[in-house]
Amino acid sequence: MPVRYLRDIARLEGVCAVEDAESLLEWLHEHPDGKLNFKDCEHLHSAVLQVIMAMQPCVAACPRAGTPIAAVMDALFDDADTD
Amino acid sequence: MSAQLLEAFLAEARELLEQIGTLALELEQQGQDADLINSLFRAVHTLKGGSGLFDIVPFTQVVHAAEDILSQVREGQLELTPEHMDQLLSAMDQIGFWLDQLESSGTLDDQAPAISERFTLALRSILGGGGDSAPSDSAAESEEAAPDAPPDWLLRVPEAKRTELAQQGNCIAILYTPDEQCFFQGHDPLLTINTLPNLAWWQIAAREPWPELEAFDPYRCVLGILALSQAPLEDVRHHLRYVSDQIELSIVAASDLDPDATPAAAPTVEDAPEVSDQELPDDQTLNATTQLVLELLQEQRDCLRAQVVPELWTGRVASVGAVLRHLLTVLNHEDLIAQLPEALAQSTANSGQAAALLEMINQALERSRPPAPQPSPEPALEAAASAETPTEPEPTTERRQTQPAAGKDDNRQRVLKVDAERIDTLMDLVGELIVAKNALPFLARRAVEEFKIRPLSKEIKGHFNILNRIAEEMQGAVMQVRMIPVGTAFQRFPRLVRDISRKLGKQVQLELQGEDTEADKNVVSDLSDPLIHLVRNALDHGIETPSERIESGKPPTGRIRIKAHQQEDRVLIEINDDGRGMDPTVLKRKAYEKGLLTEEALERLTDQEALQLIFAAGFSTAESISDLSGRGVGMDVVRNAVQRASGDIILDSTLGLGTTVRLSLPLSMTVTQVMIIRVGDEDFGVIFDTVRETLRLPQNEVQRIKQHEAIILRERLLPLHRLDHLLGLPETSPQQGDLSVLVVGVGSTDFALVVDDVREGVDVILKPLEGVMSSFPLYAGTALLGDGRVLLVLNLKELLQCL
Repeated sequence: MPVRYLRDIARLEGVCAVEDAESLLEWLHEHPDGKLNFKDCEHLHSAVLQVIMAMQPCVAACPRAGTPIAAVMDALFDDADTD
Repeated sequence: MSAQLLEAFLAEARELLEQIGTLALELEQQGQDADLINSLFRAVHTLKGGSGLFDIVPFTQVVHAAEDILSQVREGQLELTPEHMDQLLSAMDQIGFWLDQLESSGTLDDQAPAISERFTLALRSILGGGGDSAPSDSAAESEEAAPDAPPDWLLRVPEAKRTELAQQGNCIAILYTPDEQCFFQGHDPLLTINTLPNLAWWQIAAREPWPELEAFDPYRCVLGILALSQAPLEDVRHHLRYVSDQIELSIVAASDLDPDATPAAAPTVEDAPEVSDQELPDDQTLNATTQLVLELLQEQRDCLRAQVVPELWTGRVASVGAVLRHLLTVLNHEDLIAQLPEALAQSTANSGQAAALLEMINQALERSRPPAPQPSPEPALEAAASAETPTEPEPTTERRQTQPAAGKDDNRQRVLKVDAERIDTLMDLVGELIVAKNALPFLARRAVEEFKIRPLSKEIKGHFNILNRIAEEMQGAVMQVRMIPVGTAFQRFPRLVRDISRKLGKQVQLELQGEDTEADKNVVSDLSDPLIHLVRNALDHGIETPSERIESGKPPTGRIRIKAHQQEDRVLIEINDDGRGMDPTVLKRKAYEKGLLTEEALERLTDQEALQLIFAAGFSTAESISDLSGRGVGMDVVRNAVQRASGDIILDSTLGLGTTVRLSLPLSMTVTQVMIIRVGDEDFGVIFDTVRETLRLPQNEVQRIKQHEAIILRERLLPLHRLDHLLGLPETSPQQGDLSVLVVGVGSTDFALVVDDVREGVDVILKPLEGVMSSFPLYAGTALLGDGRVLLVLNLKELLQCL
């Protein structure tokens, strides 16, 4: 269960696979104010990342330092932390 | 390796191989045609891309080598000679062989790497010297570890990082432009880069603006990735081997990395559509705070230029405004602070238009710049901003052209690819429907005979007619689905003719006609082997060498024509050559020498019949056995194959002028018409096509010739046989009254059979005999009748041989 959709937060957990891109896109579409929680996320598939880049949702919690996804966030730097 | 994925790959790869073969031959005939080369290159390229999904490195290597050659041909650096073509085609043959191997065992055998090595070397040796325009890594290979010119985007790497990297020596710059369809090919560019050995820095961005929400396709990859790695070139290349066609690698010298060595006006400034990081004055006079503030200002500018959905625009402008206010305070630009609210209001009102704010940022940047080398060229800002995001990697357009998938989406709706097995299942079901339907007339008869309800019987018959019509239409529709052009069996010929004629030193022109004549797929696939054999024969024995041809007054180039057309419910195929033809007297003598014929039989044989001798088992006319057609299996194999598909084969030849072989095959074999005959208490089926006529004959018209019986029909003497005798059934033929006689023909032999009764003809699905029964060649198969009985269908040809 890589993405858990709560009321207005989506928790990305573990390794988010390519299939999650579509559901995440849908969820973000329906919840324009939805936030993403990356705390337990280890890796995002590129397709999921693409959705996040395109939709620019708010981030509720950053990934843990040292995980591969943290490196991805670093590589993205400015996209996730605008308010 | 997922089995489904492999299956899809195998199907696609075979199709591509076929395409490659056809295109290669066309290319050879038509010379350097740019379109052909492009299509060929694209096919090979796609094949390579697909193979990268699986752990079949030897396979990929060979295809890659072929791709490199074609790339050079495309660039005009290499001209393909027939020898090159031989190499290329034989490499593709190996690929085809490997595909078979993959299909049967799911992997390549141990010899594959060695074979691959051999092919790759052979192919690489073709490559011209000017290898630097070959795509991807072949270029890099020739250059080894010499540093390249630094890529433009190097300046995007933060200075601090660059300084740090520069101290550690050269590094490799990677520009990764993933294929748009890469998600479907199982690639995860993010993972690929994130796991790159010694990854020093990377950045990811969209290479085109994000589209409107509705149009956004999450599975079309539009990411571009820039990365620096400090691993050795080999390691990087190995890591990226499956996406090598989407990667641009360059080695960056430490001196290029060091920002101090970077010239203030980088050579790319003019070309770049946007002014980016380098306009930051990296002057030592600026203190650290100002530097930071300027960086932040630029960030704000980028932020405003970036694409955003309209709903988020207001929020973004507000947050940029807040940051700007603080930054301007730090910079002491009171006047600009005063203008800020107005600019904000203006930008908020127009979604996506932040001209006023951008202008302010530019002013702030301008003022903080010590004697700037150049005023920032900003006038066309908004236009440029909406056209391109700053990180757009250049080569996307070029890449996209090489994508074969572009047109696929359009076709997907119209043409459906279905596994042949499913169609077979459908056909079987239709067959069962037909059998089930045939039960209704029996039911109708019972309604009258047993239950004496005539109206019900009528009604059942009415429904039977409706059902019958639907079942027939359905059968027609399914058969239509199974129809494929005969041309698919011809596809291998151009290659075959080319290879063999080259080997034999003959000049042959192949003409194909009526390739789009359609027939059932089973018929077409049964046809393919006999046809190949016939074409081989024509090439080997029919067509003479150019010198022989000139001597006999023919043009040096021989011609083989394969013509297909439909005649009623049969497909006729003619293989015609203008070669030396065959001599019936030679054939007769040979047949006699080989003991295939007795002397009397020889005398009676007409020339036309003598020609058919070539189909007899153990007959071979070639003086020497060549490796082409004289493999001991002769024309009898061809004839058997054709007859197995319920077809006929006839040969016609004129000495010195050529030979024509005519094949006639049923369009479809799924439904067979049989005539039911009764012998004693049993019913048998006789295939309708073999029945010439049925007649009732008075006993006294049977002639006796010694111990044989015969009848005279229209001045022709036909041997008469009693089926009950032949089948070993108790004798039932009436001693008085008329005889029911069935005149049947097998090949060119006609004979008469005495049966007890001739019944109706029915459509049945003929099933081959299985199990114990399969050892009885006397029966062609079984069929299920409407009332549930199993009908044995006689194989008259076999019967004839028992006489």
